[in-house]
Amino acid sequence: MNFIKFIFPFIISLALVIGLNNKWGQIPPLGKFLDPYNGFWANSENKDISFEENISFDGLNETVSIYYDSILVPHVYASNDHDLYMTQGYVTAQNRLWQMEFQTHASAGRVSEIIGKDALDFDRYQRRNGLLYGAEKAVKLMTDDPTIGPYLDAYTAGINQYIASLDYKDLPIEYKLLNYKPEDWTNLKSGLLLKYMANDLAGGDSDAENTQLLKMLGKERFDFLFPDSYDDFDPVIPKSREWDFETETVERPDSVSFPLVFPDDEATEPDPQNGSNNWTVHGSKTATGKPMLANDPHLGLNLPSIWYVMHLNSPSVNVFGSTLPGALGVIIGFNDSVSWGVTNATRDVRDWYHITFKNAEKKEYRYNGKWLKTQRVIQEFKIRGSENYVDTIYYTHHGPIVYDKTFRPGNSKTNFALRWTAHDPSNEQMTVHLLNRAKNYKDYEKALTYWDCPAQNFAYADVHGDIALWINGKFPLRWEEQGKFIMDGSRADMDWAGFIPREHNAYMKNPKQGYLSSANQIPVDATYPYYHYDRGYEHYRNRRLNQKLETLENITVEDMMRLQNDNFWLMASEILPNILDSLNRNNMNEAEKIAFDALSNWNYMADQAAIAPAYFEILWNDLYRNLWDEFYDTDKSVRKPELPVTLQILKDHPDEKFIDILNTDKKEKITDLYRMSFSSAVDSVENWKSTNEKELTWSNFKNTTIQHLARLAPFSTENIQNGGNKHILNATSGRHGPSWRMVVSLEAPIKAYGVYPGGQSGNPGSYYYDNLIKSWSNGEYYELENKSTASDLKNIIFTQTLTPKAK
Amino acid sequence: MRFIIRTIIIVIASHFSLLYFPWWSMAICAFFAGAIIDGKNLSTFFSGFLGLGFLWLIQSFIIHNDSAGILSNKIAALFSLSDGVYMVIITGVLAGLVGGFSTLSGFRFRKLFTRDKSRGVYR
Repeated sequence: MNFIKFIFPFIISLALVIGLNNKWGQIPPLGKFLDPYNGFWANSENKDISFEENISFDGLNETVSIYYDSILVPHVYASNDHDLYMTQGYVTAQNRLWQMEFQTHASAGRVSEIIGKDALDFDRYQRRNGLLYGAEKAVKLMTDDPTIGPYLDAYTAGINQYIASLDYKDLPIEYKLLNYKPEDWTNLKSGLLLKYMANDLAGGDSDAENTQLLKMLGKERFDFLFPDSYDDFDPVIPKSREWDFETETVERPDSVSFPLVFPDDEATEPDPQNGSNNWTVHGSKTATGKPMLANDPHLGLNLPSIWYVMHLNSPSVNVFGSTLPGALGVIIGFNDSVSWGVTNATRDVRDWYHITFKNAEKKEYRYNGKWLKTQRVIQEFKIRGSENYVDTIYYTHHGPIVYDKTFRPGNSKTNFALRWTAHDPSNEQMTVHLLNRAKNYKDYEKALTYWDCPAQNFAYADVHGDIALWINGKFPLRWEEQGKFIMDGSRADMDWAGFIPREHNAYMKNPKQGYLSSANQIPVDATYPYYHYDRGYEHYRNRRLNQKLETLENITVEDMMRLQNDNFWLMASEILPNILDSLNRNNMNEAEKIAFDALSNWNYMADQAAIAPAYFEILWNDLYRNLWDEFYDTDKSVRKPELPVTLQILKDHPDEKFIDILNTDKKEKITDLYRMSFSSAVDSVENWKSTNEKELTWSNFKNTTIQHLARLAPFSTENIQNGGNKHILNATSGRHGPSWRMVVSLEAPIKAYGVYPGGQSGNPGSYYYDNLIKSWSNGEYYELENKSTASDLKNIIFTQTLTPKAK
Repeated sequence: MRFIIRTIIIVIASHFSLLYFPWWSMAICAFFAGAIIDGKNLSTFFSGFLGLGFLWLIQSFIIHNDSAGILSNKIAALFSLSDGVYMVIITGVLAGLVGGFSTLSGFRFRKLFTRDKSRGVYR
């Protein structure tokens, strides 16, 4: 009897302890998780800073001091570069460990290990796409490099020393929620992070869709609807540039025929809004007489932010700017002599080859009249809560076969190999290392020669008065239209003949016009002797920017900031008058009249309090959808014509057959489309008003949200009060926007300002997790001071000292 | 009196144990406290329940309060609750249950080795 009285409560206790120590579905192990000493409560910091003040550090040569200022930007002072990079690794991990690991897991196709089988398709694509393959090659090159190798090792060791110091109590909250532990950092993870960026910025192409469209429309119609350039284009490198080099030529083969085959499924694509603005102004146009530079990369708006801001000081460097957690050095920033910023060089660097295998064994494929051997690579995927999955990827000399009958299958005949510059070994870290230490234009030029992918427009300005902009990266040397469509992988003349010589990449230095800018538009005009292609050049931000820069004189830092926050919707200004002209106010109901008046009186500024942008946004989306309904309603996966072509057709081609809406009996005219879209916009907005308690304003309507990387809503910030939209200089749309804004004036001493939509801490339990969002949305900036001596620093709230561990 | 002593032992031992060991170490503390100090079923259960329950409740409330709910409010939202203070309550109740049953098990464990009082082995 006594035994039963014992065993009953004992089993309950045991069940409680075991049950609460394990994860149940989405619910974390509650005992561990709720423990106020070690569980999630231990991650509540608010304004407290829980870092250790004095750390005995393995592998350091000298003592390193880290001063955190009032927005938790670390100012790192080291006596040599090895210690500097080791500390960068440590400090970054201390603030952003979960993010660093999660992003590299995503790049490596390992998300299923954390969240289970839902991520398997994503993971398989990542590996088939060749990100891991490219990262492995790149990291070998970097590790073997006598300069970068040891720094990369130091960075990795710094991160690992932080990881080794962690108990369950100290783990970032996401590990506790998802119940897993960080693994050791490796150099490969840094490589994977760079490939993550390469994929984000240069991981898209439309070869398959173009091929589909070519088959649907024929060549002439395809060229009309999807031209390589637009009428009023305004390239990155001003049209005045003359090309004075001996061009390397590549002949277009006599009989080019593209195989009209394609994968049926929609391809995985990075966000087409990924883009950026940068510009640099010569001293002749500034108030100080010295150059200025501005940069704002537009990426998905996430928390923790993609950027981590640091000031790195050693006897060889004094650099300040935004870093990518997981990569060495400062990516966008300034030092005592120069400043630089990057935008994505929108250029197609991915081509697809249709592969014909000898037989089902896939051991050989046809190439140039012979059979070449494939390389078979087995990839194993660990899946949380399920058995491992094994995928077989075949490599050709082009690259990995991404699509075949086991992945997004079309049929057994559709095997497509990917050739992509991100697969090639490259040492982008060398560019960053050298740029951080650049003293003049020559140093900048040299640094760029190491940068391959993702190709970037590097804007530059220095204290000596030089400004420049290089469209920099590794670009395939192609014949006309090579790689625009899926190519026959068995023909040698379809392979890339080589690469555009680095010194023939388009650039400009100190132009007469006194400024240089880029905003993901077409890189050069038709006089540039090398074939270049991209499916969707930006066509609005760049023109607005250049119109402003052309007229501005005596430019101040405030002018630069105003431009970064400029809400002028150029596209709207180019089409809305046509739409309004065709509408008759007398035939409208009350709600329509209100909308019509708002649109008629609109100054085209997508300001946060305006209401017209809300109407226009819906009107335009609906109009676009109705105009291109033939493209939406087909069961094929095809892209739709870009905005410049769309506007051109609406304005100049009233007889275009696509204007008619297919599934109605009526034959619609453009004015019918306008009227329909207008009514539908008014309906949508009225509907929004009746289902939302908030006042109708542009910012409430577009509801800009900065989302946590694991999409946990409470760790995200919604309804940020900010204007702007895509194709506007202030490119803040619903989930996307300027992820870092920086303005640098190269006067003496240098003045620099920056802000980003997030915060330095990766901990949702910290005040510093999202404390910069408000300033960012208000268009405010923080001063960035790269004092060369620590005693000159202001507003220091915390100091950390790393001392070499006695050997 | 034994109730109070037992409860205090549970709170103090668990507090120090949690500083160095995983969360379930407090269940062991409660078990031993229940085994060492004699009592009745109900009083042992409640000294474990109240001891650990209040320990976690108070500790988490202090954090919730000091940090202005910066994290507890977010975690509460993840659990579809409107306020971080509910996390404080859940934390307390959960520790209470673990504490109550562990102490009771300890006490019943003790009883396995004690004869009836009439036999007079332990006095």
